[in-house]
Amino acid sequence: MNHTNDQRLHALDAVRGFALLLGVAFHAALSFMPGWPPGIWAMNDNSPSQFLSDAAFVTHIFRMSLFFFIAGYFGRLLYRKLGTSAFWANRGKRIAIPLIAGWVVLYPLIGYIWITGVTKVFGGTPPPMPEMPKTPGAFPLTHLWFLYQLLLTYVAFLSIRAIIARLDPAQKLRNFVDKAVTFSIRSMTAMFTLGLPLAAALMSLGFWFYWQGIPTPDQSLIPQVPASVGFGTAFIFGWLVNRSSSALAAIGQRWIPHLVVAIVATGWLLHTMHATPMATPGLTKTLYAMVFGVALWGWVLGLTGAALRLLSNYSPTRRYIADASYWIYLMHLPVVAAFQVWVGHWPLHWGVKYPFILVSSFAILFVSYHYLVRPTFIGQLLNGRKHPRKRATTDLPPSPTTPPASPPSVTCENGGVVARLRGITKRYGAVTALANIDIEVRAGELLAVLGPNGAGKSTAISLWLGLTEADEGEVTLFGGSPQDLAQRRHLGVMMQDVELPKELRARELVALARSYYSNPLSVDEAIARAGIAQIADRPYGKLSGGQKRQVQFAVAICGRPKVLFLDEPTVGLDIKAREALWKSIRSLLSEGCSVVLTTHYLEEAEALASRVAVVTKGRVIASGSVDEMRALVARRQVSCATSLSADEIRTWPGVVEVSKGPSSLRITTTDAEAVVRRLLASDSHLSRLEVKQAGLNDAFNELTREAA
Amino acid sequence: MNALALNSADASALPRGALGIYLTETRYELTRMLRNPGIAIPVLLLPCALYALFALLIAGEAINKDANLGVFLFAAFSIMSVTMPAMFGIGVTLALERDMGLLKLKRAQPAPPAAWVVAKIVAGQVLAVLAYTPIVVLAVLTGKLALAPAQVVALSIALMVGTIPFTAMGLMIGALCSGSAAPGFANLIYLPGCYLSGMFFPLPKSMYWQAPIWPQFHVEQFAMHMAGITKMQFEPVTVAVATMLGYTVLFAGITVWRLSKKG
Repeated sequence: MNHTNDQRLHALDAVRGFALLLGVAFHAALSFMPGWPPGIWAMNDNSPSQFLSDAAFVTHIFRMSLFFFIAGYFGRLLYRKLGTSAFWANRGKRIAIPLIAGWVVLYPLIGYIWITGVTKVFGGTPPPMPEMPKTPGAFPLTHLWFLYQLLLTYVAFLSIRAIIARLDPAQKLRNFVDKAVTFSIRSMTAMFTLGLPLAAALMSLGFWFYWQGIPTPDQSLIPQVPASVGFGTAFIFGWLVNRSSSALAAIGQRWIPHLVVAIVATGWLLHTMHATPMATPGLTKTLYAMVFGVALWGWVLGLTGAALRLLSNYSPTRRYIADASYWIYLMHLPVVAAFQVWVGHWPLHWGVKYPFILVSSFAILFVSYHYLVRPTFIGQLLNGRKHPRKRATTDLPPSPTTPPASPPSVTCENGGVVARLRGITKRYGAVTALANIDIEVRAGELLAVLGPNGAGKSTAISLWLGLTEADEGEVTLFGGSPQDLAQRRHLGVMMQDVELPKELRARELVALARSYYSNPLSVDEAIARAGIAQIADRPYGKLSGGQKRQVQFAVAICGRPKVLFLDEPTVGLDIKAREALWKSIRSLLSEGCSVVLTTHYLEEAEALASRVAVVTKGRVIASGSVDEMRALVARRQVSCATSLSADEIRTWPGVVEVSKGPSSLRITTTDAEAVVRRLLASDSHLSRLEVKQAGLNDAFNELTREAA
Repeated sequence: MNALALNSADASALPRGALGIYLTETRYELTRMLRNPGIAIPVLLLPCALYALFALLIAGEAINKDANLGVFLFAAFSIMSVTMPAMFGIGVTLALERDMGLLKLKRAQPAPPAAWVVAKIVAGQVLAVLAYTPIVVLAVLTGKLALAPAQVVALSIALMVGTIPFTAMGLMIGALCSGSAAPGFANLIYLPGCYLSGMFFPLPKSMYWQAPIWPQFHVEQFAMHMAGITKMQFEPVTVAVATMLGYTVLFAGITVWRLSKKG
């Protein structure tokens, strides 16, 4: 599992946790519904709220579909990792046991609270409790219905999957579907089509209150059509998104338009529902069912996309909440209902009571999770791992259904590679900044990246710094993703065209930067190493250009980086300052730090680099050790007017290249003396002889011209 | 693996407390705002100086006759004092920092992604407290604010809450404008609101319709409700709160959208 995937899993874990916790907020609102007849819920509060009714409706549109969508995504991940039989064993433990054990514990509790609440609502003399309908399969599943529905979905889907696998052995159909999935998300047709099967199922309902959305299948063990179609679609689409390599990225890109359409569609649903709450056959019902599907998928794709864009990094707090959410959702109903019954007749506004119910319930549920679940066998059962209580907030737990994410450790890849770009292509609009480039930085070396302006050097550095993402290929930093904070804690950076805050003193800038690292240099040590002791107490804005670069260097090295990225570090420095900086860089190298340096100064590369890579037009056109590059420098150009043919000279030893000018030949050679001697010996009429040193500059110019 | 084999125990060590980073970042953010004369002088001195000029010198006598005028003037300049740091402290510095490439550097450094924005918001709040305190002290000491102590406390808390939509507005301007354009745009959006919301002088009836467009109006209404000053309540408190919330969501949404696109 690579790091990009890990990040995505963090985001999707957060979405699942959100969907579950939203369910708690939803149920907590149900005692405040205006116009609900007494007895339909455990309590009818004396301060009903149209706002809560609308908010509950909005969350109810999508929360369970969102859960099933993520369940489909993780379902495939787990299925591929474990195989069929281990998958079922795992689902049995995580889904079936909580369903059965949870029901046995919760049903009596819920029943008791319901009776207490309804008695209170009717002023002490409740009507007889309605009996379960006498239809086959009738069973009070309570809020645990979603686990039952999920198990049914697994069975149905894996059976269909087995048939498709048999009919489509070459994966042709499935490859086509993968492409269609990504296209449908990018083109935003998915949100308009995925809801159609559900809409058809809803239209066929005889009694349909708009508010209830997909009727909750909590009264029967027989699968209900709208729920099975709606949640089944969500599950299948989640599975297909996991199959398709670029679908998740597309969801991340389109989150804003999806949410915008969702909001507009939801607005219309609310408006229509306020006019007529009960569906009557006709155009409105049809339209309502269809818009409901659009809103549902807009929310599902929009919220998932938002999480992918905004929550993809690892956060211990979010992870803790995501882990806790499963337990909390399983256990919340009696707790929430008990609070609803307790506060139901208090003479207070719902604006006070609802937050009170929510906060108190979450407090009890989180505390119970922290002490009863996380460190015990229940946590092991629900989330696959026990957590020693003391380290509860610092370690990295696996999520309920995902394979464990690799911890953010810093390692070198094979051969001590600390940073690598592999097969990277990066485009900005029509401009290709990097074209299928491969560069690696090895431990303890200084890699000089040379090239003309606009060659792609800074883009390469930006990728390593996690500032941009590649269109194709893989970027690694210490074997992980540079987007990951844990990897970045080992890098130092000095960028081009960056100004630090002019009001702060050099010393303060270093103190601020070092606070980001776990084991930094002291402020004084960083200042001494960068040679800025004399200017350390002056405001940055009052420093000269060269002094500013020195302060930036101090900021770059203050975290004891294991890899240092220096983008044109010596521009504007005088000779003395430049040599001092070189000395600091050498001492970092001797301590084992790797350095990536982009520069225009070839002597800088010669003075410092272990390896040199020449980049132009987004491609590496030459790379090698400094000695190999020196061989390029050692070339000289001999030009002369001669009767000898270019083809003949090309065969001589030491001749690299021969080109014809208008009246002379130009010979590039590594052994100019021998070539000149032979020229004079072979052609007594030779004239206009000229020998020129080809500098590294010329060599690179020539190379870059060739590349052009 | 060679001599540089990195040791994973050392690598997984977290920096010393995320809270420490946020505190350090906030401290230096505040230091920067206070050291920048372009921010500190107008933000800290202007509202207090204007209040002293109007409430003590120009309208001093009138306030003694009509206590409501004292409350009106106090509300005007205290709203100015708490909202200016958000616009000029947060918004303009953010625009400048985007120009300077500082946000890009912070993203490359292992700074927590939210550290800079939290630091800015908190520093803006502190600046708002620093700007507001002299006004309230002056008003109470000179007796130009005829309110019970509990009302002053409630009013002060309401004003601090009222900075939230302006903080979002400041961030939006910082995210949308270049450093050189930001002060201009900030004034363009902020100053008309101060006048047209009826904050600085009572509006003629014909202009009532447009007052609710401006966030300043709703912040003032919220403050009046919280302090229980019934004479100056023109809309229900729920409308004031909902509008402030709406503006906050709108401005913050634009900010997030813009920063995620352009950085």
